[in-house]
Amino acid sequence: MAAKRWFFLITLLQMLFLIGLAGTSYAAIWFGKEVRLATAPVDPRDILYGDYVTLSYEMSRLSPELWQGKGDLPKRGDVVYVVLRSDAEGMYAPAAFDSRKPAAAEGEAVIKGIVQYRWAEEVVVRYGLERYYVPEGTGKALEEEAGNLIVTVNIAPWGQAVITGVESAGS
Amino acid sequence: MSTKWLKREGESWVRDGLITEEQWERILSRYEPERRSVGMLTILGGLFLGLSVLSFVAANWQLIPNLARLALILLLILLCYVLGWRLTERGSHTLGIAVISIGFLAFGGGIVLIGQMFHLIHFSAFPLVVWGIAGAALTYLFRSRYLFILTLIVLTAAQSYSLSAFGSMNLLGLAVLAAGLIPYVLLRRSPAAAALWSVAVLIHSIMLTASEGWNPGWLFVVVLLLYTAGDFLMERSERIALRLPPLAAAYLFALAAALFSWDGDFHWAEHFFVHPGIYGPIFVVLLAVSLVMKDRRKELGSGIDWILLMPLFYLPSAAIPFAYLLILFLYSLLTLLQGYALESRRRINAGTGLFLIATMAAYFKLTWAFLDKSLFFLIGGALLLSLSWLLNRRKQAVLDPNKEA
Repeated sequence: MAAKRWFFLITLLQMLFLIGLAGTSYAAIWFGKEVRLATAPVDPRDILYGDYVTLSYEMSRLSPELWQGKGDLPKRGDVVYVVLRSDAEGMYAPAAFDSRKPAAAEGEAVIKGIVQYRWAEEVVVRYGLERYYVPEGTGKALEEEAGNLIVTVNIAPWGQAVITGVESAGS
Repeated sequence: MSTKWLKREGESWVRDGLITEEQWERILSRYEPERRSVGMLTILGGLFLGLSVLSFVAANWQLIPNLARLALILLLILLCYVLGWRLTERGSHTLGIAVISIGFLAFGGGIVLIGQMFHLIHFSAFPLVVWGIAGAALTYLFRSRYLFILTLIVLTAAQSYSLSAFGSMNLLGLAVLAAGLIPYVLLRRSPAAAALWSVAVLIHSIMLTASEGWNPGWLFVVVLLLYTAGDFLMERSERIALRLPPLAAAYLFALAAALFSWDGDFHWAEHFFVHPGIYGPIFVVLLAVSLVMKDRRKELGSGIDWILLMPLFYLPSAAIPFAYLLILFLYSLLTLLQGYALESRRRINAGTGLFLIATMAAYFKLTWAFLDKSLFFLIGGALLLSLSWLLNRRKQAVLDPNKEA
């Protein structure tokens, strides 16, 4: 019954893959450091595609002055580590970014991202935090506030980040 | 074969003394239709039951906590796989595969749903490619053409996603398509599988060339490779199936090249095609390999296909359209001649169609600019009608009316 054993293995691997996919996210939430991020207005204007809202952050567009890595600015597709520093109100904003993972000091967190575009004035980075899924039909209200939200994110020690909450920043 | 047909024919076999009454009953009992009708009802019943559960879960999805959702997805996959396995074990292969394919689709659904649960955006199409790998594994295990087709669709979808979200193709996905699925094409010996795989390779090659900004001329190398690979398959029907997509692509290119107006000031060969110093040797080697294989399989006649694969795009721009018109005519005429020689109705029909297309292309190319439009269509129509009349007469003369090819 070699076939049966193979079938058992294929089924098991699929289950484990899904559990792993969910498990790393759960682990990031449990072991991760909680960080509050303010969203930035999103361009283009049409940000609600079906059932999720597109989010953008201050750390999504980094100034080349913050670059700490050796050599040139990173290219499209490169992995970068961004140091986030908290202000007096507990909001985190980018302080530096590097191609190698720096150690986080007190009041700092390090998040992993991938460079999407780069030009002289800024480096656009993607963190996998740019989508927030909402129940169908409830996206409209959130869409109007998309540029003025506070997103709570848990960042795991290995750099993975998961959104755990979204709230209005108020005026 | 239908049981109805068997019953009707069987009666006459018994009457003519070919088989005895008892033998006929034993033959009939081998093809009892009961199982099949029960199978259909089970499929429909299972489908409705499944749909009701799905719509109920979908309607209340937002209210279900994350962990319960995950458990539900895992349960659905496990249920479908175990049930499907049981069914194939008991001989209901088709039904079993249908149930397993639901489990397979649920696995892909699970990947997407987990992404939504945690608001994840993946950094590559890897999770979707894993879905394709699972499909390939199931395809081998069950030797199922249906699962094979699903896997091709999943891989194509994964690459489209990779292309639109990250601007590049997923290399692992390409490896799964090229290296992972070719053994199935070789093992299964199914013409449909060979043709579909060939089409998928062409599509993925076009996507890869476009996304990497490579010279589009490399696509011609892919076409040559696919065509030559077809000559290596064991069965004639498989060989034709694998060669048909690249041949059709070459034919469409020849037709387009014949109709296109090639700007004489632009250096086409430099910008759009691989350097002839590289392409030439590849072409010659593959041509030789293909012809040797064809000779071994005793089907050297299909060597005329290489006329369509000729790299005429290296000619001076002014000569390109006419060179391609020429090979369109040459190919259709040789197909017709082969059809007459082999008395094959299918070849004659194909040759006739190709000849009419070539005539239309030539007529369009040569007279569109000069003739008044109504005169253009009048003469063109008359030309086509008389040609098809002539060709049909010739066909009737060649084909013995009592013989079907």
